[in-house]
Amino acid sequence: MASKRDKCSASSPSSNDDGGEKAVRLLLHTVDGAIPYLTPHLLETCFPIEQVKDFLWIGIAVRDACISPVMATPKKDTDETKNKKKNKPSGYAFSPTTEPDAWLLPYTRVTVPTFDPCQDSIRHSHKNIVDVTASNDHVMVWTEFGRQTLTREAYDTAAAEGLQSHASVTLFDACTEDAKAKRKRASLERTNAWREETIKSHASDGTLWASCLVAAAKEDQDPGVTQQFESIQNALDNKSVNGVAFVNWQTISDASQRVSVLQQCIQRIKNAPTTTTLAVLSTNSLEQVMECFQQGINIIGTNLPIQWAKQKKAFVCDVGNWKNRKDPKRPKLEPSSVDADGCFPVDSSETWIRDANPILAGCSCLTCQQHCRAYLYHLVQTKELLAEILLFIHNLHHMIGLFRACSQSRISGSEEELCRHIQDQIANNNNNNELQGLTKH
Amino acid sequence: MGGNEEEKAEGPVPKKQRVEEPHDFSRLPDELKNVDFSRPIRWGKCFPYISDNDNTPAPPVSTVPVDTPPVFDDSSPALCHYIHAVSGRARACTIHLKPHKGQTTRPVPTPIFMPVGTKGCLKGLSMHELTTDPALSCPIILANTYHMALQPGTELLDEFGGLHCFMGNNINNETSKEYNFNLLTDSGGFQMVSLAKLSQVTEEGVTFENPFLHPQKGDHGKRYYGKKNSTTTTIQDEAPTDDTNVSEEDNNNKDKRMMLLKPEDSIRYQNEIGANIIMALDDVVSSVEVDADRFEMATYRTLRWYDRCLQAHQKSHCQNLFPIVQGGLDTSPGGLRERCLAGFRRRELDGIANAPGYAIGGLAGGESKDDFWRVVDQCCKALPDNKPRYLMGVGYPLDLVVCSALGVDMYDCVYPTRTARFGVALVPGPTPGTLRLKSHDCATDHNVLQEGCPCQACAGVHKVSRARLHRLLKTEHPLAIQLLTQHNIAYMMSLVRQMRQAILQDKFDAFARDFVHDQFRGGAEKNNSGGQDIPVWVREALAAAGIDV
Ligand SMILES: [Zn+2]
Ligand SMILES: [Zn+2]
Repeated sequence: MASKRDKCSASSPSSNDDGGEKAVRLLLHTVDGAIPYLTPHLLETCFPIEQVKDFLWIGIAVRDACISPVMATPKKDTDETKNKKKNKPSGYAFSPTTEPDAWLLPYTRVTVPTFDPCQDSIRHSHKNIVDVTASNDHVMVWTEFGRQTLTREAYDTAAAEGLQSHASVTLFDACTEDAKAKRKRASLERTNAWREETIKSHASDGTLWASCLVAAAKEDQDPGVTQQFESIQNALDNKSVNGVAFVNWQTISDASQRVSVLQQCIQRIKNAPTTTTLAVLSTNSLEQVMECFQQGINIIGTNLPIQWAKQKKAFVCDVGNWKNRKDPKRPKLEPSSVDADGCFPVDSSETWIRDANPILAGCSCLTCQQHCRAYLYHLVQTKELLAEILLFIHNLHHMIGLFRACSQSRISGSEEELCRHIQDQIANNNNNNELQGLTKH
Repeated sequence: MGGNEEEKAEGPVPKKQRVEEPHDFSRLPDELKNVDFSRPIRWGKCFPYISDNDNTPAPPVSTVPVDTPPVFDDSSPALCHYIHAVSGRARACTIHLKPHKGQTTRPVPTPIFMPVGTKGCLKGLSMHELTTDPALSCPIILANTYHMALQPGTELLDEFGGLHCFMGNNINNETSKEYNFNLLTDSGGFQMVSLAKLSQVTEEGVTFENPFLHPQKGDHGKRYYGKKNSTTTTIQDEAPTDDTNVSEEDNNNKDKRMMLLKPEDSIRYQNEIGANIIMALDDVVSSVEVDADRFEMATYRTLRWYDRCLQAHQKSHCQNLFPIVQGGLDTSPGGLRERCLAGFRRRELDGIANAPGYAIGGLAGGESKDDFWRVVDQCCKALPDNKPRYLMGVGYPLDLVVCSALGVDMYDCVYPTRTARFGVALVPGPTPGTLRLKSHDCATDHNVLQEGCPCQACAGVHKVSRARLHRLLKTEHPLAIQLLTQHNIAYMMSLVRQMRQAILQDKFDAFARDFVHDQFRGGAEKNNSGGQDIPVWVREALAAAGIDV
């Protein structure tokens, strides 16, 4: 296990030789522990580890990656039913020994319980329940295989031993903004308790990130909230954790509120060592990604490249020329051609029908190197899976380009400029009128 | 190709004849009237076949070393066929196709399996993987003319310099020489008859219900968007304007409910698509159809339509038009298959046509395996040995082994890719040689799909277990379909490579025997090698190929 981790020590969270704390990294959400659309061949060809290790980390959620069938224990049934049910799993449960897919091993992998607890529960609940229930020794997680119980011990074992992750976020019990005060308090208490327990049982190898419930943090009078930040600050001081992961931040709908909450959270752990990793586990829009970047977050989790591919959208926001944004010769995007996420919706526009250009001029991704817009348009029209595969390759490649630009601008102190450059491109579209948060500081 | 001479034979049917009464089309074509059907039809045969004119063994086949560079000459300007070895009737050849614009040539080693990329792509598989992954390394894929004509429209493909370029075969060719491929298109006729509603074959062509007027779910009226100044239009959107030729069919066309695909249209579409190998439009009759007259008419019509296709073919310098042998399941002496073969022989010997290769059609449509192999056997015995033989729509791994033994070179089938999408993997071992990954048995099976398989799922450090694929299929993770598709194509490619290797070593009989015994192990519990359950058709077909199982 340790040797597998070492393969990637150059980019492990405790290392500072790759741009150090200035680097901004994409934490790509996996689905069922795998990156959709990327076969081993495509991953190695399109995203070779040596080219992307500073910008692309892989987020694995125990919620979907570590769920396995449970075989029925042989009962003393009649022979007939026995034979019939011999191989049928009796159900599904978490298996802490689940290993990651071998082709992901060279990549830096971060384990989380789940990326978007509230979304998960909405997606899987037939009723209108949004709460993830929990008790003091486990969290109830919504999965593709029904509600499942995840204990703190099982989760920690999965993260450290099964998934062999380079970093893991301590188990949390998140609840929605509109949960009752009692529920909120309980979730904070549990999350605090689990954090302490995990720290106690965890070898201090600097690969633990403290989970921090963001939605609850808004109520700063709450003693539980105060306790959360004290506990995190303590753990950082003791070096028992080297990162803080903000949970459920993406559910705050108001942009300016999101920015101020994130600022408050960072403020409360301001005494942390400068090498502390600040992670936001989930973002749901380009706007949110840029907000996190602007507030100094190092690790920004998202599944946007996957979402966009599914929605047949190509990420075309210009991320390279921000330094020359006043240059009149700079190629300009039609303001109407990109949506609020800087994407071009391939299926709802006919402008690509006979367009022999790549998705994005100068893009070095496999899709842009080998295929033209007209072919992609054709694949989208004919509903081919290949359309999503090729769009995903481009979207992820270009997203990594954005994170590269973010890192560079942070080093050169030109974050403001980059943010404004991105904002200019996406501000004029019809779908989005709430970009104020992007430039607020 | 000798347009004047065609008139000497049946040639393009004069327009006024096209609306003759059906019984006229059942008349034996003039060029077949003097054919001696007392001897089996065959031409250009080499050993181990019987010579063309008597019952002596044919002369030995002339073979060339595997890496002989291609020569394209006037007689075959776009295809160069080399035979490297024969093992019994099975042959290991290389088909060199005229490289598409700006490409390096990618030779096609045979026997070959061609995956089907219906709409200009393989489901869930990038051309990069298909061409550069050594486990796949497919040199040629098939695209369907009917589908390409609907979306994006062949006119658009022509603008792009053909489907190769549209699919991205011309971009970045400098850096990735192995990233190129050959294409084959069908005539579109089969899809018209099988997919379109109310299709009807007349001497003029195939009439079928306009799919634009009855858009299927999710079409959004965007079919055939590739035609300039129009987002929805028809394949053949104007009725014939020739005033001397007003018929009932034309009246139907005028109200645009029905559409017509003529042999000339099929070739025009295929010229625009620009595949390396194109197919003549044939009159396809379901092989389980019972009306004998219908088969007879279809056989003669296929010959007449081939002449029209030849006449219409504009790009014989770079595209190879293969005629298709039809004739139902009638393998009797002087029967429909022989008559069709005799028609092609007549055209070739008279210098009217010089087909670069031949396809065997009208099979894989639900006929019995006994009928199936006898047709393949007869066609292989008849068709000239210096040209590739392509068995359309076949098949299953077992079919490939049996038909290669009989002398077939090329295959295509949607089966390996389609079955992958249903979560089924092709594996060696007892028939049917498949593994249903969605079954409970796979839920906790930690083996790979197939030990020794070089595909991405099975090979190297990845070793994706059956349990993992089962789990990914459960949640419809796209990676499951992608990996299964790769495995199944790798399985087919590895099968054809093994067959080629066995032929080159002149050990094809042993290979076929082992393969069949691996699939049929009946009786193996009595501690022998099994094989008691080998189907009769397999025994008989292999026996015809000189292989005793
Ligand atoms: Zn690109
Ligand atoms: Zn395999």
